[in-house]
Amino acid sequence: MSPTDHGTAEVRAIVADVLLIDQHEVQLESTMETLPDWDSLATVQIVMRVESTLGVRLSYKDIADIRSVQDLVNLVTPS
Amino acid sequence: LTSDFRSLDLLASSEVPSNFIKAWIDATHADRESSVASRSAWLNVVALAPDDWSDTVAIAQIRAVTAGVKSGVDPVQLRAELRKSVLWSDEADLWSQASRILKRIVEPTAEVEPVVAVVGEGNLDLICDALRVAFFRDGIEARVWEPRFGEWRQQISEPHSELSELRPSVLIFVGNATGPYGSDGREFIRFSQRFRSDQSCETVIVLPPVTSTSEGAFINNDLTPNTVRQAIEMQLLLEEAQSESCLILLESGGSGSETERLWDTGKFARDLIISIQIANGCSALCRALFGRSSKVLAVDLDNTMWGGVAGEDGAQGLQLGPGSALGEGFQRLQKYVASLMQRGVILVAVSKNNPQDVEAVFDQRSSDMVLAKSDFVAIEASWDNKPDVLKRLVQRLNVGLNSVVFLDDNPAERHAMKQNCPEVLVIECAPDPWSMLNALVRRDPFASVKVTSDDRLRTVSYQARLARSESSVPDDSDYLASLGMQVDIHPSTASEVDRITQLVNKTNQFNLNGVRRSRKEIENNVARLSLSLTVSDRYENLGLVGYLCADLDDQVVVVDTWVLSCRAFGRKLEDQMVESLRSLVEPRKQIHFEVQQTDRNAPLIEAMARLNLKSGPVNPG
Repeated sequence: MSPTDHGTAEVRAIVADVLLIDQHEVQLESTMETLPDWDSLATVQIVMRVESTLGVRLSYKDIADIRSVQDLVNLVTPS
Repeated sequence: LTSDFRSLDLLASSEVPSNFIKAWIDATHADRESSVASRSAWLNVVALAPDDWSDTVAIAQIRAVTAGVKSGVDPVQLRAELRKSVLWSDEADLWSQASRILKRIVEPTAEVEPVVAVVGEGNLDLICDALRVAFFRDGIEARVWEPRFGEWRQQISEPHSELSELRPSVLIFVGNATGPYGSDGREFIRFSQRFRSDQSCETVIVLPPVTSTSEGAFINNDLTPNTVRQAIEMQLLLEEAQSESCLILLESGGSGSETERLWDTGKFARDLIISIQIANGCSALCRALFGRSSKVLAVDLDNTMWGGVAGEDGAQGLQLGPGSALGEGFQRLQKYVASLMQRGVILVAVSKNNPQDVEAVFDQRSSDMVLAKSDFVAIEASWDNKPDVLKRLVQRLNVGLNSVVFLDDNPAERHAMKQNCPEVLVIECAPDPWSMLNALVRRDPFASVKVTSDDRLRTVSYQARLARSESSVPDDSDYLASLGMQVDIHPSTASEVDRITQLVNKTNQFNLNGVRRSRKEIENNVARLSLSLTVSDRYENLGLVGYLCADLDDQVVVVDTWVLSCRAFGRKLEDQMVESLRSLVEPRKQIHFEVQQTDRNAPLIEAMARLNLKSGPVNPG
């Protein structure tokens, strides 16, 4: 698995866990609007899990802009 | 919840059964398949985990619950599993997940009482969520309420606000950790006075630590740094809180993460780790306020109260006291345990040992031991299973297993206790005195709102009860006569209010209706027909162990509060209290008991039947 794939898989797994839905329901293009119960508290919880799991640190400017799974993946994978 | 990498790291570094490693890897793969497959795979991990791996089991368990929520497993089953998970670990990610799961598997109802309201500056979601998890774990049925963002002042000050209508039993103010220190707390004390006086509500301030952020901790002569101003504000706040009977919960602080970032992101003043600490503190406090604090501390001895094994190292070879870090550590832990005992906690030792080896330590190391033999209500040294020993002991002491806290360095013993006595609160810790001390202090299962002089007498009292249970006296009346009891029933006085409040809120078994009363209510009761019962016998002075309160009407006497400490059971004291009450009211008047059956008050119900007292009107003749 490439680092990008690994990051993507982890992000999808975390989003699915926090929102309590199946992983296959979480697609890269899924957004706060299309997934259930994805509110700002969920974003904070997702970010905290992503940071502790992947050992990365996201800047708060970026956190405020998170709207989709793709946004999260972009933040944790090398561009 | 840790990543595959971290989990594998953990697995590689320990001696782990290979089938467990395989099960863990299978489960992470199953997560990507379906939630049904994921659930059974994680349950398999739970089943295969070594006995003493509490943290690992907790993680696997919550993953199984997560998959269970997704696949629609029965919420009752999931609640039991989730409780086990949060009982066994305080890990931040795990609690965060637990809080989301709770929202899905617990029916939200507006009716749940009592209400615990949490107010303060900023976003309190993390703290309230953690508090819900802590209440769930501790079996506290209470509703956690928080105002909408930025509305706390309005909610507190307006007489018809949602908060005022809710009539909370506990109102918790979380002090501002980022803005001007302390002044918001004093503002809260002034605004919340209404709640304390009108609604018999306890108010609590969570006080953040004095910190040196932003301006640095360096003090120079030219300016008063923030830190010093904070310390002055803290002093003012503490004085005001004390004079207004507002409780203070000190926040320990010390988290490594940057709280400024969380504030700027989502107006969270504290990170998850601190939020969990605050929730644990508030839950301990609520347990105390609702009369649910633990009462008994059962400790292991070898490597828990001293370093080494008495039977192998001999009394002289044990590490205890100055001379080694470990020796000092165990002495420090003993000091804390002794302070608990002085606050009224019943101390028992449950040790796998030969009795004479344990005796030798108390005799030969008395100058290093902080705890004396007489500080323990019982020292059980034997080779029997600890759960069995403890079960026998609580029966003789007449306390419930759910009021027992168990401290043991050995994870296998802790596991056995959790399996066989799930009601017992088992303290999770690393096998060293500092970790055990920290775990006890943080969980604070013996939190009490006030310590009375009767608390300090409790050890003697329980020792006497054990002595009585050992000298078996067959006939009731002979036994009672042999005690040489001195019973005094008198109108309650103002000086007894603290003890009565405690008694009413701690007593479960002989309790008329389980209704908890605030100190204010008890204070007001002194003006009504209220009776206190004090007892002493040739073994001990039990102090104030019974209380009854009634309203005198033209026609009837309505008893709404009646409690008798379980220490005073089996002495027919309830009979004497009813007699006293009858002697005080005119014979033609009827006496009503506002009885309510609870899950714990069978002894009261039995006594009511035996004395022919009814919840309806009864003839006092």
